[in-house]
Amino acid sequence: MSNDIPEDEILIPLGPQHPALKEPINFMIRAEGEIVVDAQPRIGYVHRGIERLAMERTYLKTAYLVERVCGICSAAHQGTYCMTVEELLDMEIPPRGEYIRTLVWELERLHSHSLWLGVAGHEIGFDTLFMYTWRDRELVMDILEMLSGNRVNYGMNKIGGVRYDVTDEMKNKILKAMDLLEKRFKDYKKKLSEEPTVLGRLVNVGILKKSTAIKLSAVGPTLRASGVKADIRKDDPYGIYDEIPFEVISYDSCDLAARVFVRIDEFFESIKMIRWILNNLPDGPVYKRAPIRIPQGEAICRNEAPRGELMYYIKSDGKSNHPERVKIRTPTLANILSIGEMLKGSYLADVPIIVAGIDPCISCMDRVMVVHEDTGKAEIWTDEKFRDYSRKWYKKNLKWVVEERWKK
Amino acid sequence: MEEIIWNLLSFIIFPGLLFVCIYSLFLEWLDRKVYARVQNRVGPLITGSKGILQPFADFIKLLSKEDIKPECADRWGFLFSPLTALTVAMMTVFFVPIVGYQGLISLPVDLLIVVFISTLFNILVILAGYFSVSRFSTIGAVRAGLQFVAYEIPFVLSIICAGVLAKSLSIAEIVYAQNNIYHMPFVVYLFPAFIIYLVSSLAKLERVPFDIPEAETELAAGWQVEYSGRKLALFKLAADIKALFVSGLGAALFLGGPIGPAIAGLEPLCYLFWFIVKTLFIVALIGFFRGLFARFRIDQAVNLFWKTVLPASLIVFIYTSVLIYFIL
Amino acid sequence: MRIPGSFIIEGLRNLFSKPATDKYPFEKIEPPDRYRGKIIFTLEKCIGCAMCAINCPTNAIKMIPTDETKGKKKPIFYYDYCIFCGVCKEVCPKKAIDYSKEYALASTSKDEMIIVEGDKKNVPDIPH
Repeated sequence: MSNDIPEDEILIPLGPQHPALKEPINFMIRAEGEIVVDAQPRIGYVHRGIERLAMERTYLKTAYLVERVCGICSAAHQGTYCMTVEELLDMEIPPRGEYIRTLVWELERLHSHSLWLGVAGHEIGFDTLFMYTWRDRELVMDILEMLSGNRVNYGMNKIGGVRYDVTDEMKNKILKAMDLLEKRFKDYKKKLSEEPTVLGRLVNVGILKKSTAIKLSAVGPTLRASGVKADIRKDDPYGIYDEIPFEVISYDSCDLAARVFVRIDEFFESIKMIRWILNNLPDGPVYKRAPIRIPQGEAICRNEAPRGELMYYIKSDGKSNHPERVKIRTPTLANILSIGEMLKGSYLADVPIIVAGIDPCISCMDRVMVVHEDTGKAEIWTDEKFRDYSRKWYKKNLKWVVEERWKK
Repeated sequence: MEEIIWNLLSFIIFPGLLFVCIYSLFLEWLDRKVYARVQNRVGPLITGSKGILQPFADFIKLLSKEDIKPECADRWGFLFSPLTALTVAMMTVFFVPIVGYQGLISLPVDLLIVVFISTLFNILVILAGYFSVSRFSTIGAVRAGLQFVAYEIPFVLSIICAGVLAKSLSIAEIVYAQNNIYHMPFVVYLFPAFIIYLVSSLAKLERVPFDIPEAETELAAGWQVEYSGRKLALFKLAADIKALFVSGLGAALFLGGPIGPAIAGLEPLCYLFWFIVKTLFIVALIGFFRGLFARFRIDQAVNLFWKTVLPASLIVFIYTSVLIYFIL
Repeated sequence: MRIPGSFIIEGLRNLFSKPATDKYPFEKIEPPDRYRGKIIFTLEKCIGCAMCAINCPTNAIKMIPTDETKGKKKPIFYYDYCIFCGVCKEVCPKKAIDYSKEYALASTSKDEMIIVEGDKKNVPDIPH
């Protein structure tokens, strides 16, 4: 992107540090007065090298590493990893284990959507909604702490099943909390659809047409708010999702208000699913012992995380006890291109709420890929090529580094 | 000679500079506490009993921080903006009656003069954003200017309605008229004007739903973004003193001023008590309404003021004139 | 045109009721039963099999011979590396590891970050 821009436009960096963003990501916005003309995303500020770390750890230890990719969708990451390894081993886990795994996934969807509603309220200046929804989210966190011992990064899954069981007393507490949550969120939905100050900020803002959404490969509630009924739980069922009765929610208005209401309605669907799971829990063990040696092969599994479609690829070479390659494709990476489209032509005041509208989880997202600008080819670099490049660069630029960067 | 010393003392200590600074920081505590309770949380709690000393602690902390000036900013403009803003804000409070029928300064047409002086503050805001050469502050200053154009006319019209009912434009005479001629605060006759006054004062004080010039999530503090340390402390104190001015003026014009049932002989103390009660009421109302709405976008706010609030204030003005000439 | 202010009744109700905040340093809350706090290690039950050290995801357990155990290796726990996941308790065949409910574990000295039964000499500073 060139640095000379026309005279009546200014370049505003919605930079790595900004009160609107919860995690570092950069958008270079060109604005003419209050209207945004163009926006370019730049990512890579939170790259932690998780895929490389996973290559040095055993399969059991990687389960705990992979859970810490994201704080909000941690059970989705760990569950998908365990599902992929179980597919490599070609084993079925006991049914009670499947039900409890799905219970934790749906509880996590509840907590993630109420967190997002609070953050959206904060971005439009409505701090009261932020405080109310986070107060109600504490009920879900208390339930998760009661089930697994921790409020985030639960550690519920392991290869071969689930680690903790659900007792009857916990079941009653969960059902009572679900009633209270349903009552409160129905109240919020009614009030939000009537309040003109809120609707004025959300209706007709951040439009993403249906064809553009499909072309730019949007996933999750962003796609479902543009009128496409796509959900991995119905299209490609895994686990027990072909037994639970539920519906896929989609709205047609393609704007931010549709994204808010899609998430609130998914909240109610998750509550119904949790009630069905708790009332129909089968008996039996929750865990089946898995062999330590994983046979050679590759496996892919997809899961509907709260933000969209999450995909794991694991390759094992059959000889050692750590994976040869783990590749993670998170939903936010698929939604980032849509932000650039949505920002064109909108007001400057709407930029934070549009960025927050896809529910960005930037720490999940950063993976490295090298693209040659002139030829347009993409390639993945191996370890040695990276080290080679860094050695050559430092040899060439050592003088500049010592004078400029280290002189203070 | 004695009178000069007495006047000097009352300008500096009571009810002058020192009293105004301390009381406005106390009003900030009440506003934050009411806002927090609407959101079901506690607000300031630990410093002082129930957190009363929290705004003082914030002010003193800001005074002790490092003062950074950006390289491109205009040196003298950057230095004098906070000082002039604080001076202008304090000057407006001298006209508000605190103990008695008139304030420290009282002139025959002082309602218009005090509105003019508070207008100067807005121009200083635009200049403050312009002198700190930064993208965010320029946009914040432009938005402050647009918002000022939107709310100023309904604000002035609602104040003039009170003047029309009292047949005078001097604040002391309006307070006198409420207590001795009509024997009823003007809010009874002029309730719509009071509502318009409250809505415009939310925009004047830059509180939600009209805190567009310093929207925290969009612009990272708008026109104040480059000020830090002592200059930011002065700006925040000026904003608090503006809140005291708005609530004091509202109490004087619509709620009957600081006059109420008093014990003979101890009159200044009782008038001070009624002043505190009435300003606390208005500030609590403003703090309550702060928590109920989302923030407007600048074009929606300007639309709201020019298409809805301005015609309403014109209708109220006509209704007041009809009231005074034909009925009363 | 709709009138703004749909949250006014809820706002008034919250204004006059008790706030939802737990005032933490003055009122403390008890965590639930499955909470994984500080590790409690019983030396007598340990047989030195080193399953906990092999399976710890962050390698926070080190097996060293101490004076008391006369040559056989026993584990010491470094809980500035620990992530409180619970794997060591699961894999121990003799159930020698358990968790308490203590959660206020921050400290300013590295010595308090090591759990070992017996004396503390010959204990290395970091586990790897």
